[in-house]
Amino acid sequence: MKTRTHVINLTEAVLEMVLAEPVDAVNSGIQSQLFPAGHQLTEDSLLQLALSHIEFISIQEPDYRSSAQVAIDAAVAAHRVMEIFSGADLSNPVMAVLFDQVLTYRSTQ
Amino acid sequence: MNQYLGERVIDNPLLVFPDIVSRILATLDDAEASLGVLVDFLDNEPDVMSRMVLLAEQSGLKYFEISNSGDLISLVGASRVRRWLLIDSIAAFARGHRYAGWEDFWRHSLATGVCGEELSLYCTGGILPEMALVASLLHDIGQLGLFSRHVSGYLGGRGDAREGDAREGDAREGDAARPEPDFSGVDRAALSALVCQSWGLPDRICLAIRQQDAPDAASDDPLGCLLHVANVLTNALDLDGGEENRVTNLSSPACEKLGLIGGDSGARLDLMPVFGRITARVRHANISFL
Repeated sequence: MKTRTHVINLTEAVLEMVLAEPVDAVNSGIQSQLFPAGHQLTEDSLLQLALSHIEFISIQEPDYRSSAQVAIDAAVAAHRVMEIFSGADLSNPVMAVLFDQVLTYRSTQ
Repeated sequence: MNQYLGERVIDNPLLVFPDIVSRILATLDDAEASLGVLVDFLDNEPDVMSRMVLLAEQSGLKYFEISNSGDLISLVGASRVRRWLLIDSIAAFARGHRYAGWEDFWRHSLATGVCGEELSLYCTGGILPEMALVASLLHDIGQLGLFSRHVSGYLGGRGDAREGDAREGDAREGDAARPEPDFSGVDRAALSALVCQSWGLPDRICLAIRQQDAPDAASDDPLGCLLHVANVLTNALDLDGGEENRVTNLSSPACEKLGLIGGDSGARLDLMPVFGRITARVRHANISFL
């Protein structure tokens, strides 16, 4: 099954969501891993995340969109990014990198 | 900038800034004093305390009884309470004006604020996140003053002032049909800096706001550079949902001052790691503070 990765606020997390990245907590200046990537959220882990002052997690979720829909969504996002950058000088290397990264990010969300 | 316009914005009796913001900023380098400011404020502002408890409950802490400021701070963490208070106070202040366009104004300010704070955590330059948050939230504050009736009436636009109008800042029926007052030629960055200065906010914030549109010439302080990059990303990622969002320039010197490019390692711009977090935080902030 296809999946995609999102960063979400802990308030948006629900049971059985799967962590896309490990979650670390810092306690008294010492960093330790709370949960590894691939961990499936339970009530206990959600509570532990909240008590560890974790606000955001990266989760992996099934992507039920058809390939055609994925292509349409990416095209819409790309169109919007090109509109936003329409007046930008993309021969400037910093602008070009920013454009690429925004395009990549928005086309895959 | 028209000096009279600036004076009129500053003299606006509705632009009374929440002093908790200055108190928080003044104690950032003293953990004990900073905690004292939070506790003192929350203990004396039950409405604000209720909103903070609600935010804590929404953050996954609904099973805990939070009966006082001490419970709140120990459960949520002082830094998050501080951030919530800063945003909540400035949100209440902005909302109080309710001119026809306040929601768009606040949506943009909130997105830029969150973006600026996240960037401060990602960049080098030693910018305290709270300083970045406040500077970014207030970077356009002069606009709020411009659009209040107190000022726009003077220019003959929407929301003409009326003598004795107790709710001068309110949008009124028919306002939307009136033409926008002409503010062309007004240096909004300078005006915003002037307003912040009149509130006694730190010089560093006032200077950064003044220099936000000229990042190449900004001082050695990277806060102005951060405002520039935060504004660029707010537009690039459509964080405020503005249809007119455009990106025309990203200053290389500003990126360099923030350690985003160059330096000893010759770093290449890489903002991908912060996009997801910024987007998620803005989405959440819109739910909590719009």
